[in-house]
Amino acid sequence: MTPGPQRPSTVAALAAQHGRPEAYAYLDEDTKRNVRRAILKALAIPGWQVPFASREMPVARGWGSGGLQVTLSLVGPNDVVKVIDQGDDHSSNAVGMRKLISESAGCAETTSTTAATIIQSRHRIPELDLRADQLLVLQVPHPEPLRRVVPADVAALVHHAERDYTPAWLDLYDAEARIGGPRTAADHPVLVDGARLMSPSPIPRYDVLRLNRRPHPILLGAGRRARLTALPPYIDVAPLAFEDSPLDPEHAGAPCWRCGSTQTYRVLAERRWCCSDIDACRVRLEATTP
Amino acid sequence: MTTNAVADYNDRAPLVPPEPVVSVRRLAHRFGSGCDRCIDLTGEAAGTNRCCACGSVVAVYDASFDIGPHEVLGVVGESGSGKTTLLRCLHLDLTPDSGSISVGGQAINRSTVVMVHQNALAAGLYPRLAAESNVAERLLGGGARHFGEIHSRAAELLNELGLQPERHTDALMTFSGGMQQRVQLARALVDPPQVLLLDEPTTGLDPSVQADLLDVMQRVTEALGSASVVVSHDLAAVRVLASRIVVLHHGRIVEEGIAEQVLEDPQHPYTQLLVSSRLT
Amino acid sequence: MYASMHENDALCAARALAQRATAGPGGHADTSMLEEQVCAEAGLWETTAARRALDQSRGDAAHAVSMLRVWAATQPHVQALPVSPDDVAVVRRLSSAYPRIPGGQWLGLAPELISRQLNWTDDDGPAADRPELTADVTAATADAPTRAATPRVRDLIDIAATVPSPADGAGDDPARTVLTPPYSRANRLAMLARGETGALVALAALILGRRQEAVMVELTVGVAAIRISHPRTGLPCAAAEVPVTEVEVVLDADVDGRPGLATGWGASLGRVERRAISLALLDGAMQADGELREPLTLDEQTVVAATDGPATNGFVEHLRLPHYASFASYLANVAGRTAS
Repeated sequence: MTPGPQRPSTVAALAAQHGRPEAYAYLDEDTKRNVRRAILKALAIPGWQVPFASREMPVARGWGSGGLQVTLSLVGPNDVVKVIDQGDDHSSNAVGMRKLISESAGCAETTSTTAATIIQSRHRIPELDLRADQLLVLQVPHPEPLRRVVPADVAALVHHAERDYTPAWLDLYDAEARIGGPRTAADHPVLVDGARLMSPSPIPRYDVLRLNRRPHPILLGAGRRARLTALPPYIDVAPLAFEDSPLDPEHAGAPCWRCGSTQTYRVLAERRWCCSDIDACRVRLEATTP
Repeated sequence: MTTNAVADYNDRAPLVPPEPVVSVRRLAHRFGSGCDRCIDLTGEAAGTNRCCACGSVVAVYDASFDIGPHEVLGVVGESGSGKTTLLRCLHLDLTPDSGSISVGGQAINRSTVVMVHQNALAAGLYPRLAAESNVAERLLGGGARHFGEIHSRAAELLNELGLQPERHTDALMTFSGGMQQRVQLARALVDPPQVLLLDEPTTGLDPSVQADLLDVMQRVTEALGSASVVVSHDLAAVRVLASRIVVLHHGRIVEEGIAEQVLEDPQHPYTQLLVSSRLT
Repeated sequence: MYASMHENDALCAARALAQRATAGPGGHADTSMLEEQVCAEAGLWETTAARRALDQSRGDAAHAVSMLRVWAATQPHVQALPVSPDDVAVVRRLSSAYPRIPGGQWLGLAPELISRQLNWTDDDGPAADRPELTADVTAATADAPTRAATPRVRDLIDIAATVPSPADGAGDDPARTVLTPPYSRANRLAMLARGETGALVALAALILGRRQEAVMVELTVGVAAIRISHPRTGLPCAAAEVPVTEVEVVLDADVDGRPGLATGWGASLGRVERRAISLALLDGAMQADGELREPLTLDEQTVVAATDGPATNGFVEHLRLPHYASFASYLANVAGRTAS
């Protein structure tokens, strides 16, 4: 490509001059700008769903395209990216996305939680506590916490604007009265800053109870529904619950057969309980093995 | 009417309460474009609500009345007499063309009025949620966040209204119409409104349950202290509940007075027709 | 536009025009999945006939489905024996409910691994980017385990109360009997199994959006050997090998007032997996709520969401992604409520 006499007016034009006709990190500049502005707005209004122009991605809608767009809009060549699904780095969809990100952004990838700068996750929060310099991106299928009690989007928006969450409290009350506790298992709604109701994505209650006042930002991207929410550092996040009925985490049937922990979030695999966060389990095992 | 009844009545409430809770003045509403002959062409003399010149329906015209605290006003008349339109104006479902409604000296607004509908769905209740949840909603809307306290209060109210404790967690839609109305009343008791509207409370109900429901409603209206309006074409129900009655005919009030007086010794020919056709 | 319905010159001219159009060059696109979809919607397994119908209808899938059904109605009908699980060779098997399952998870020919990025380079040939795909799927079945030898994942879920499924018989063939409502579950499944794919997916996506929990318990792609009685000896002999996709899902449901699960089952001819997933979701939803079912309103939001193809297809297919962490949470909740 022959450099023109004038300076290139866009990053894309500059990149093309240097033999890189594809956009950096896959997304074109306009999309990146749109997503970044949405992120800033979402951080300024914690828990508020900010619409963004979700693009068609090589990952199907409903498969994490929102989280992926957030990561691609923020990743730089010095980042180290980790992608997990249910806590597992080696799930085929997680692997595919990690490759797409690291190849298009020219950055490093890792399976180690402590080594990563950006962690994109589906349905789990890493069990090794993240530092203030790390970023957590969550994939969200249903960003609207009122979806089951107020199905119409426009009506739900009015509830959010007026901070009138009576339908959500009513649903919780009805469940508490009839079955002794909430019906929600994963994706239990949370109150951000005591004011705004938000869907934390389908993370288990164990993780919902760990969202409060984290030192790092958490970004939640919903690609199919084209909305973004954000939790800035040190924000108050509490599950929607009555004063006299706090949310209980899940109880596993046995300690992890690999690392022996009784404190982690465990799942059943072929009738044996094991940690769902593979990297955290490995770290624990290495710490206890001489 | 015996002298004893008059004495009872004088003890109960004066004919025109000194400090009315609800004041309705010259309420009028018309459906349709209207013309300048509508008023003359409708009403009692014309024998119709519909203006023959322009086809508009003058649903209510020149309605004025007061209701005092603890008072229940019965509004009677046949279908099409304007009862429903009047009720919708009082519930702010409809803005009348002219006239005023004030509550406690101020313009009426939604937060001071509660209506008990014939069917719970129309009342905005939740048929698939538990009966107690429907009552709890009003407490939750008021900011209550302690489950135990909300639950006790809801249970207390439902028990007062005659719902068995073991059924409090059953879905509202599994209850009969009369029981669903009791749930609506329990809701009203959570936060007593200034104005309580009862829309055809006994219509569609089995005669065997009507008496019980009326009994419950009577207790509730007394306990609430609100000004109440009961709209019904069932004169027997109105007789039990109301202290005063207005009779609507083709959109106009044709008679007004103490309930027993109006029903036993009606003055207006239309009222006489109404009463005599209901003799059982 | 020819508005005449009588035989006349206008109609002759229109026919001649249609004839000329069908003689067009087309291309050499690989349409295997479209052929399988057309076979599934027609309720007839014969991919060569589907390819021919697609060619003759110039790629109009709906028209091709009709052509296949018309042709099938003219063919002699032989009663097949019920397919035995020993005759089903499993070539792909997934579960989103657990990370590992007895018998193992096999990706097989995974449609989600086919890239969504349009490749304009032709030097390697169109087959380079795709995993090895043979139109004749039977080549893969040589050492594949049978359905009978592979335990069912649903048997692992013993902790939650399940809505009892109605027990009914084999059901009728919708191609040969007129089925009228109310349908038995078997007949309903039979009719929906020939359903138009887009409609099935749109309805299934609506269901997914409204549920608390929906997990794909097992997806199996197998090749079923269809046996018929030999016309002379009466012994069962293999007449055809047909790929079938079978899916089982669980949805959240109230069982006797306690939270539990409802299972849904769906199966489709061929390997268009979103058909079987949608069928399973529809079956599950129709059993889940009983009388407390919520009506569906067709407002603007619902209609626009239901007709967004990439969104509904992606959403329904995303059930193939692992869900075991959130599913474990639901089961823990159910166990806790049952115990209390």
